[in-house]
Amino acid sequence: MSEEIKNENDLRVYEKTVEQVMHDSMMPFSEYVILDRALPRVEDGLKPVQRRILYSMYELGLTHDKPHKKCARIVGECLGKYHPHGDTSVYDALVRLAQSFNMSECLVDGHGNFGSVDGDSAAAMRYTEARLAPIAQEMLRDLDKDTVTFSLNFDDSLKEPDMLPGRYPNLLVNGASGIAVGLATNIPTHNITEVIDGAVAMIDNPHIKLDDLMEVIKGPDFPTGGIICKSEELKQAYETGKGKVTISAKMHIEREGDKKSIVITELPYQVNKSKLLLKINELRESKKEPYVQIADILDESDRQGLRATIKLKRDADPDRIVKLLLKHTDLQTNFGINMVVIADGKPRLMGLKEILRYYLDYQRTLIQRRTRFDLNAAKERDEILRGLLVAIQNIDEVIAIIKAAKNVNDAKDALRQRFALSEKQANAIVEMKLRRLTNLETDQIISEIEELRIQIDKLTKILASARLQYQVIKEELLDIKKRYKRPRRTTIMDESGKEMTISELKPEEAESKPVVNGGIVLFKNGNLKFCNQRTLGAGGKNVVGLGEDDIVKDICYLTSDKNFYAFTDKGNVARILASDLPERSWKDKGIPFIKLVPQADKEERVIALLCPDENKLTPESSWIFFTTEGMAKRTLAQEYIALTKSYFQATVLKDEEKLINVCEFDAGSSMIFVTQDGMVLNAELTDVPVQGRRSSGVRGIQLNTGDKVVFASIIDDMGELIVVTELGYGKRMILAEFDVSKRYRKGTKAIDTDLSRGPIVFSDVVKMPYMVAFFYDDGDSELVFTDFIDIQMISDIGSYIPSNRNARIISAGKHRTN
Amino acid sequence: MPLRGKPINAEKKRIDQLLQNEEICTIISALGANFDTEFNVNALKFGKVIILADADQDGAHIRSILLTFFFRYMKELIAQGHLYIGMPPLFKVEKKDVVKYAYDDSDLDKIIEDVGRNYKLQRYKGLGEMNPEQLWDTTLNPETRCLTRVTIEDAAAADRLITTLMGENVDARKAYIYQYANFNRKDEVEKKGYLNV
Repeated sequence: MSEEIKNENDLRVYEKTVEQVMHDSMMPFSEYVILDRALPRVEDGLKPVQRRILYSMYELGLTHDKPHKKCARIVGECLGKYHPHGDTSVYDALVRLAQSFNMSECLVDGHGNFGSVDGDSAAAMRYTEARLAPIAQEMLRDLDKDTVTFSLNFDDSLKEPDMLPGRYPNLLVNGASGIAVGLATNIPTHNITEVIDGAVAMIDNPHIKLDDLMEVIKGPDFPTGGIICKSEELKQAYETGKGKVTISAKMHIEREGDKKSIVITELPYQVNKSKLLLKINELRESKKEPYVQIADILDESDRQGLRATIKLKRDADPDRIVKLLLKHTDLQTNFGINMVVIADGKPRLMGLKEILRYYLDYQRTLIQRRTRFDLNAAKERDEILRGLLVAIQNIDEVIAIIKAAKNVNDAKDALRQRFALSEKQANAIVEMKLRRLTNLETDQIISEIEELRIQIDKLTKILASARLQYQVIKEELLDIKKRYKRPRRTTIMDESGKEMTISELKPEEAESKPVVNGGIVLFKNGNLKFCNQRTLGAGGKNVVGLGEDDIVKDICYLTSDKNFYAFTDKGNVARILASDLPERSWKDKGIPFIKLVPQADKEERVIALLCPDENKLTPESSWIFFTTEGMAKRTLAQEYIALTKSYFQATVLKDEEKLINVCEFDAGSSMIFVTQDGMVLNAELTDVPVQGRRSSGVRGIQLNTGDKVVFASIIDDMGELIVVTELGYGKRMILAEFDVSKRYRKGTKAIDTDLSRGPIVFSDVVKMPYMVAFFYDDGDSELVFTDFIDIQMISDIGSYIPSNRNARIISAGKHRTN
Repeated sequence: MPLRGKPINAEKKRIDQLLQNEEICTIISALGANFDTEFNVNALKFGKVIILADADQDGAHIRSILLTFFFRYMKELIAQGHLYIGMPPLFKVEKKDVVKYAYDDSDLDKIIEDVGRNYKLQRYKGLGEMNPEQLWDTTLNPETRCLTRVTIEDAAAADRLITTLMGENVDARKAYIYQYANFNRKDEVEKKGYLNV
């Protein structure tokens, strides 16, 4: 950088002031960083380096059905062809695209060590391998159909796309963050299902209100889960592009004897777990109140998932510690939303609607270009086929002309003159193969011309109609949604629910609380409460207003120091200590499952309880699961009891399938299924095999299309089966009347479910009579004693139960006033 | 004297932080004239201090950072006219055995007009792309090279601009960029048909 004094006479020396040099240097740099480095484009949500990586991989043919290739090769390809910068910047960008804790939908499928949420970096690029993730193919789809503009690369030798087709709104799905000069961007990740639904809602109603749009796109959805609050600030961020959202970790409290632990299962987005735990440990070592009550901090995370336990000392108050930890550590963080993107060649701050508007406009241009491309291709093909057809129909003459011609050009000219053909057609004819002359081929040409006519017609119509173009966008978006949908991972709390996660769990009793005999009451709406023995016994006398909350689904008797298992309709199970539930009187309502298990889904409902008696439990004891699809799955109870997690998957369900009941398996009994359409099957249990926890079981009953199981259980042949239909017809049948058959049969029709009776809304096996509560669509309700429902034969038609005529039953169940 | 990567920004760091930076220390000791209030322009070991950075946008950034350092801690170096900026060529146009270098876009257009079609174009992004002889021919040789001497006319204006562009205040920088940056640059190029060759 320096030069010796002797070189005094430079030939060309200009002069510039400091200001000029600074201006002339910083302006191009700023423009460059803003437009070509740090900020994503609104159309595909990618920064140039990301786009170039995806395009390089696409050119290398690294699709998801091919084996992985070394990252070094991808980085080399990208550097050499399109991105003349540091190899680390390319590799780091590639790694990020493959990190499931950074990306809502990973665009790259990595193989090897790609780093972790503890902040470990990925292995060097000579070790790791990668290929495109399936969804990346949606980013690149139609790229070969002249859908986007290409520009020359840095040395004018190759072309690269200015943007990718991005067939789903990647900007919102995967978010972005970057720092440019004087500008920065920070866009949170979103749920792909919600974002696509949001885009579709915008197509359906371009003037949709933000509030309505936010019913669909409820808020950011971070791949690391956590909890965010629905707030004015979030709405403001979506309105203006700038605002913030607070993310907290998901935690719950577990007990072991009289000691409690705070268990962290999900962290706020981009929080480094090991740093966080170090910070908590620092607080513990500071010996300040209340952190001195922390006994130990354990990181129990493994391949299956994240779990960190903060063990507390005997007298600790977990509620207070959690509150302070949220304040003092990254267990709660703020995500500053600042949605700056490149649109129309400029950096712009945009709200949610504007981003979607730009996206849809872009997709429309893309569809227009693709349609034009397809149309041209179809027209060209049509032209050639018509030429061939002419030739085949006049084949003798054509052959004569060709034979008489001096050379190929002569032949073509003569053909064109004789049949009024175009250049292309003449070309196709002289290159035609003789096999085209068979009858079959001629038919094929004719039918292909017909198909092309339909296609050309359709494409022409699309080009002429904005409505049809949006229709195409909508269909293709919904198709992507169908293939890539996923449930939301970040829980959204109402503002009022801000404090509720942990404080609800606060033990109301002193540590030395005596063990109470009682039972867990499960309501039909999935809520739970604990009642002591006396309350349970006295319950019947205390009738209060009849509401749906009064329907008791199950009561499971235990002592307050025991664990029980709550199974949900989504196929999960939670192990809960009975005394974690506040003790309630008979008339109190239950508390929602999500308050007990914050990591549960908001819509998740408890449908069955089990409290295994430790004395009777053997290693062979098993539980049997029944689903709406008629599946029966038997799994060893140990698989659930031995697991250290307190909330986990209990069984595998299909998309719409729901878990409806879980029973303790008893080899001497059989299982009964009742379906919505009135089919009843009593099937033997002997060939239901023991399977693993993560299996979906075997078929219990064979269902007709559209039918589903409404009730299933383990039975002995004691008691009666009650069925009631929507329009009020019902009967009791003696269980022993149903012969035990092999499983996976259709069963017998036990009651008519035609239009005048409606499907079955209530079914149960009764051993001790009880009150059934019926709720009608006119708002009325009534209690019916089970003994007052007629006992009839299987073949009988049932009798009308409600005293209120002409009403539909919308809900029914066991009333809590035993 | 080679420097690697982006140097530390003198505007955002305190002097003790600067002195912990190896590159900054090397610059100071290489010039041999101390720094800040102790700076003695007469002790300078060299008559010309030439900043030679890559011809791309990152090079421009490095140039700004170095200039900031010199302005803040060796102002006399600039005031006495010892600081220069070297200008490596941006393009090499090659056609058969004719090789020409262009130092900016208008240069390039002229050269392309001269040599006619079927040229081979190389865009220089870094000094490392050139062979030692090429570097000597184009950038270092006092007979042929092209230099820009940095001068101070209005020290107060320079001071303000450096504070705005390199300082801590993001909003001021943002305002300046929005005022002067030309975000339509790309579109103009496109209109010229440059990118759709």
